[in-house]
Amino acid sequence: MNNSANYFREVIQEMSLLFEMALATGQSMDLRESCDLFLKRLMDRKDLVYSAVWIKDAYLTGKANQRTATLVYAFPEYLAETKKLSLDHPLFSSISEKEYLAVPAYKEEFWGLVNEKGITNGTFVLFSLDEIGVLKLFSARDNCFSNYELNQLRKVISKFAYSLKGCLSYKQLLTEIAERKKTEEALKQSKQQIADIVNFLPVASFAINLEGKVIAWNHTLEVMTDVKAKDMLGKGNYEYALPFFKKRRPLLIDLVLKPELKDLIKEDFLFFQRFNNNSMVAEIFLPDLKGKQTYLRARTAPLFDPRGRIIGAIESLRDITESKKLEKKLENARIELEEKVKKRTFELYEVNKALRSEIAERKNAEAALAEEKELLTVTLHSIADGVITTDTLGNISSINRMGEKIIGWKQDEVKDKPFASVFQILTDERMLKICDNPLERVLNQNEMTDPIRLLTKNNIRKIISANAAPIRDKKHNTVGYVIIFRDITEQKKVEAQLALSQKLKSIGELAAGIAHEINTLMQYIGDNITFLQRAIKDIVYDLMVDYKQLTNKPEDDKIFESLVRKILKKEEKLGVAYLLEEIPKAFEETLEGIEKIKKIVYAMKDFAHPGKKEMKPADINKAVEVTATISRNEWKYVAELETDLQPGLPLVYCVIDEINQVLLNMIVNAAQAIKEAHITNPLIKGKIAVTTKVDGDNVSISISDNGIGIPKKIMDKIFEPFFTTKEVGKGTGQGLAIAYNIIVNKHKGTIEVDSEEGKGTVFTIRLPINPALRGNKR
Amino acid sequence: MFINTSDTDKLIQSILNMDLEDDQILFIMLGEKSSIDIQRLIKALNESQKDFMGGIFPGIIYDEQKYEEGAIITRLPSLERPLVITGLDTGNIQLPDLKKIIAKFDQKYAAMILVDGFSRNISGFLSLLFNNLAGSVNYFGGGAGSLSFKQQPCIFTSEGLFQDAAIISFVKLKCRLGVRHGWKRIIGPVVATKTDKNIIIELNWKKAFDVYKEIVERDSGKKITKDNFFNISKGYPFGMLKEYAETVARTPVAVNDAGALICIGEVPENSVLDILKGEVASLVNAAGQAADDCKIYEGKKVTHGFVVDCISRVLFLEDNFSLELQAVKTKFQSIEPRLVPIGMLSLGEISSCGNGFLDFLNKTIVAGILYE
Repeated sequence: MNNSANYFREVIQEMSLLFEMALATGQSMDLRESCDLFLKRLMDRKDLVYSAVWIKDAYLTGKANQRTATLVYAFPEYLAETKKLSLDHPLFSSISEKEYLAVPAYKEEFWGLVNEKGITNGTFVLFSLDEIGVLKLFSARDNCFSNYELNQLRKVISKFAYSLKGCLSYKQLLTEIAERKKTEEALKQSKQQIADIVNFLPVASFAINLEGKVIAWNHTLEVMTDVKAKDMLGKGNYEYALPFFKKRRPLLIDLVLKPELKDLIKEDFLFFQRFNNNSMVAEIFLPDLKGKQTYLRARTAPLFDPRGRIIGAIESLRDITESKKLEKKLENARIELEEKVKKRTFELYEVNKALRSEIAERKNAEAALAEEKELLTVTLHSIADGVITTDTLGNISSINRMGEKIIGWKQDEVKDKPFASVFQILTDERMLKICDNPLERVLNQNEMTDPIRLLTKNNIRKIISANAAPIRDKKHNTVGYVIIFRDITEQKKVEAQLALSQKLKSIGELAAGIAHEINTLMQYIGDNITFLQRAIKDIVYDLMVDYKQLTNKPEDDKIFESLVRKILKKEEKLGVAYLLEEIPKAFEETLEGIEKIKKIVYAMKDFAHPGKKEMKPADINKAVEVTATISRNEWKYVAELETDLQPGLPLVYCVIDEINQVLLNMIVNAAQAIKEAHITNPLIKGKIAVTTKVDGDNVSISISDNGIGIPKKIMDKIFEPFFTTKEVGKGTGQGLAIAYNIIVNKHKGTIEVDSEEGKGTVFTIRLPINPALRGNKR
Repeated sequence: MFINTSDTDKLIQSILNMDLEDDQILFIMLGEKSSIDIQRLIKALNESQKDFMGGIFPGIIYDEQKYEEGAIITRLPSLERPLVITGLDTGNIQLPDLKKIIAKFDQKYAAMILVDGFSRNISGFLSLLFNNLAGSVNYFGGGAGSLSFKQQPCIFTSEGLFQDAAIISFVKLKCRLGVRHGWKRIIGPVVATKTDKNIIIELNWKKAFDVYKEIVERDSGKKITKDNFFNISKGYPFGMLKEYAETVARTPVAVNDAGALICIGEVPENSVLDILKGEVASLVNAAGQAADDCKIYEGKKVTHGFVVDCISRVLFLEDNFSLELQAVKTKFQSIEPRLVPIGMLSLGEISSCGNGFLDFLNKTIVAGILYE
């Protein structure tokens, strides 16, 4: 009876173990919790010291080629020393073709399995978890499981393996869902960021998604079109074309997503260019944008998500109506100038061949100007604004393609880097120091027009204009900054060319006068040469024959006397005494005339030569003389020009070419002021006086006239660009503005004007001997 | 030292008179009827800059007697200041970096653990502790609280008086433990088919109380109701099967309105259980055996003989309980003749039992010899 009861008890005990273990499987979808619930029960029942689950990494990561396994569960964790093993480890190789294996400590294989601390004696029991890994159990006893017990547990542990597979699949599913959510969130954030950036752009801009619906419409565009963002966001079917064309139709932006539409709209483009990165630039004319004729330059580019996939397109629009008008004016001025130059060139060619080379130089300069102008056009067509965004600490979060192009750094290289480390602003004129806080510098920049010198990644120095603004969230908290910048290096070059153009214009205007000057001198030289030719012919060919006969000493005295009488008579007739007195004078005057021509030609050459725009020591007295010479024809009929130039004047560190330009403008203005003063009696001549002297650290140049003077009411405006009192076509209004720019801005000097209406005007220019030592003054 | 008083000032003064070396802490066991002002005690000890840990128990043990009043205070050489672990009510338990602490130990020392015996996550806490320390220390201790079964703050250190918490002190002494209960199976198996931590909701897919009632009434011949439940159930605990050792006992202490049985200690769902029954002889014998299991090699300096004895054994043995303590004392003094057993009557016992992980025991006596 007892035996039967014991047998029954044993069976119950064994079955209860299986029962408990079977019900402990699959209780959780979490891998760790599932292991915990199952294995702690097993350890408790069987008095086990340690249990561990090793899963092959291929099943954890989904990468089939991985040859390692990870310890995903251990209890107690205190014992676990290794968490990663190669699949070549005995833990896996010893059970590769078995379902389970018990290895007691007295077997040598036992020690190959130990990777826990403090294990010295007992038994390892390994169960294969199908193909996914191994369950490792440790008991301090030598015989914790009999063979039939292992066989019993095999099936339960097989179910446990299935439950772990379920956990792995579930985990993978959760990972995929999390990944998808993350991607969706990133996409959403990306779209929001695009909308935020577009909203802060100072250029009118909008963006559409792949469905052609508007996802951003910024404030500047609201102002340009009078259409509010709230009325446009989310709209598709080309609704965004209505403010511009009054009808639904594709715009440039649509060509990014549907290039085939180009044929439909290409005729509207005044200019079109496509770049390699699928961005495009076009110019269009709108006959009625808010009731005005408007030229717009549009630039469009694709929008990318963080994975580099196109998610839409962005278009920015710049109103270029004013610059088109200026371009037109500039073109007209250029044509006019070319005409004048051609005309004068022909006249000059006739007068003096020496001037041809100067003209040739000018033509070359003109060609260079045209070439530069062409380059400028291309540059302007391809230019766009660089945009950088940063976080509140000034670490860069994004940079657009134009930004990359300007500063030379790629998005990948600058991401999360401090703005100051890539946006290197050079702080002084000689470009030797780098600004410590460029972000603050551009944030404090009032206008985009103030030039900034930038050192690019490749140590190229660029001139840019830049502006920045804080990016704010809906609660108006600053969440970062957007920096808009433009490469204006080319623009600065063009400005230099325009200065040259101004000089050529002056030369053109002076050319007729100079031609007349030279012509007068040539006429005078010609008269003297004619006189000398005739005098020499008379003396050499007529008198010399008689003198020859006289020197042969005729024997007959009568013949000799007759010959002497003949000679004396002829001398009287020819006026030899007069000739002998006048011939040296004629030579002297001829040489003087030639010297004057030479002086004019050299002065012209000095003035017109396109010298380098660099500062170097120059002689201001010589500049006054050169300018007075070439402008002589402008003043000689209305005034006397007197110069009082201090001898030994120190050389002034300046761009002499520009100083010449200023002096010329001043002298011509003085002559015109005198001419106007004596308009009723042109025979009365006025007076222009130019004096130079040392004045402290400066050289002062004073140009005074006794012309009409400047009315007090316009005194404040005379240095403003395009301000003129002259008739239309006679003055550009640029002369004094250019003078101011050259003297005050570039040379850090001063210009003072003292004038009394009806009495005259004195302009006093002070140039620092070394302008690098001086700040701006007026 | 046993101080038979309920006067807080007297107790404080007695404690303050004890000399304490720098690395020693005071271990204070209070009988629940002592009516000591614990906050004042803590304040006074903090002012005297003495480190301490302690608990309020249903009873305390000194020599071969149990007391419901008074205090036992003993000095223990400590490796660290006592650690307070909270969160045993929610299960959100944060342990300090224990690996860093035990890395300093040069051998396997003892870890004294007190818990609030009515916390719901004692097993979770012990599992977490074992996960971090495994067999690197010898664990022993028990559950504090009141026999009224009303949960209240019951363990304390210099940081305050705590409920739903545990205290761990690493004692710089070696330890040998004996763990026995002596309860015998009368029927089984029954399956705890639905449980919620320490509450058995179903047995054999039926209401737990109905199944338990039927079995116990048949054996005891007594009618069991909600009102007399503990009077009868204290003699009929559950036993969770475990190979190579005694079953782990679980005492049902009450039945709720839904007919579920509330136990001291967790019962995992689908556990296969036996219903046990106590006999005076087997329990007393088990106590003597537990003390005997603490035998160590001669020549070691024994400092403490601890007893953590389940209060339910007192309730079951009643007057015979003194036999159990005599048996322990006899065995302890066979190891060290001058050794006086000290300890507490606990609401659940803690010991590293066998080789496996740490469990919260019921109906059990844990005997422990501390030695240098």
